[in-house]
Amino acid sequence: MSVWDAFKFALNVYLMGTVITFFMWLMIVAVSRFTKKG
Amino acid sequence: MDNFLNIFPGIMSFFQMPTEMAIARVFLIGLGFLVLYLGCKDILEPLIMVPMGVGICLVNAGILMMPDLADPAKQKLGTMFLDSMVNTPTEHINALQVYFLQPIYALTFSNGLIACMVFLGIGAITELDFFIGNPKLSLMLAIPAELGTFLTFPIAIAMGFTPKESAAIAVIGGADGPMVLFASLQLAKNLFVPISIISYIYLSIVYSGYPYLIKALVPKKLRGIPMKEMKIIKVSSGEKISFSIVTGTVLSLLFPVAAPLFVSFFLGVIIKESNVTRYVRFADEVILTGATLFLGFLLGCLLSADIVVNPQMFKLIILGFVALFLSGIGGLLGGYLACWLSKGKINPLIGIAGVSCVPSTAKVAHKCANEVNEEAFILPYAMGPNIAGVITTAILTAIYVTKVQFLQ
Repeated sequence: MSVWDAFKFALNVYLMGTVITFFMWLMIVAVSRFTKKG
Repeated sequence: MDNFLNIFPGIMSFFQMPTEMAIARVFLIGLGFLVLYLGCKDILEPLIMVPMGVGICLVNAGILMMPDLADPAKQKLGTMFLDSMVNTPTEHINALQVYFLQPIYALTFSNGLIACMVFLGIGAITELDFFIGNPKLSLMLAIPAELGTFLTFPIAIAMGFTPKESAAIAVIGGADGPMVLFASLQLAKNLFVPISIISYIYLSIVYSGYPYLIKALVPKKLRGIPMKEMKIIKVSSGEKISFSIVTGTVLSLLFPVAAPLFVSFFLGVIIKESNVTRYVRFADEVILTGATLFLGFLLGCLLSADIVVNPQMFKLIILGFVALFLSGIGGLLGGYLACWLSKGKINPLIGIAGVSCVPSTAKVAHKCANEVNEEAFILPYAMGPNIAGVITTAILTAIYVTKVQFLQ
């Protein structure tokens, strides 16, 4: 595996992590609203 | 002289091994004393370093000629502590009867249970209020603090490690001990001991090392921002339990390979929030304390001379430093961004708390702010990104463990 391929792979992992983290934020907001309503 | 050496096989073993191994043993006994001393003096994290120092000293002193489990007719140099190289079921059964730490190693290390036990205990003492109260800020700061986890992977590849080994090394950048243990056990069992020891030693140094990075990169004026205008939002236990069960389920659904870690952490959180005091005390005082003691001691006992003379060890020392250094810089850059977006209301130091290492980095941020301005009490705000850092590290570790399997 070349260093450039490794960089692209790690960037892919990092960006995927960022997207999942963004969804986690949405999930926290949704859970908060749902719990408060309940 | 021969009679004397026969009576003391530990001393004789120095003459039965190659010279470089004998020198490495002496070095390690000295290192054990040093680690123990620094742990006792609170310079390194005592909970891990005291048992680790004892383990390093004693395991490298107590070496003798023993029957080889693979072929009992032969003899090899070993200890009465444990043998991490057993492979076949027969060797396992024999080892359990010979080595006193083998049951703990076989039942808690080789399957990653020890990391899960530490994570359960951490969950049971974690305060989620600021994280759930300010999820946007906390998560926004945790992502840049993973810079080391991202950039260490290609650097490790450039230094000659395989993709699986590089991913296990990159996880050091997340600064989360149990996660490093889990990743190295899953991806690079051959490097599990050096990676874990290096990461735990570096994580212990974070408390005294990061203040220099902070002072070099953040001017005094910004370090003293008191964050008085920010409110700490009180979150109900119901909200925290709902968050834990939903997040744990979704993350386990996405990354089944890391589900044991997720379930351990969120089970700890739910135990705490459901207020079953006996379980909370059990998770904190028994599971976390016991797991930390055996983690430190067994890691110390696994640090033998052959690991130190391994040429990869030097590379790992460099990569561990690079990973945590980059994550620290990333965290501070995130802090600067938050400070700029809030028009100077947020202290940029809480960015470095995104490098999880609960609660050391949050304490470092607070200490550095408090040194400049006595009214700057930023610890509660720093705990948000600190907890978010644990979660983002778990996510990135899970992605690495899942995706790296498909690489050639």
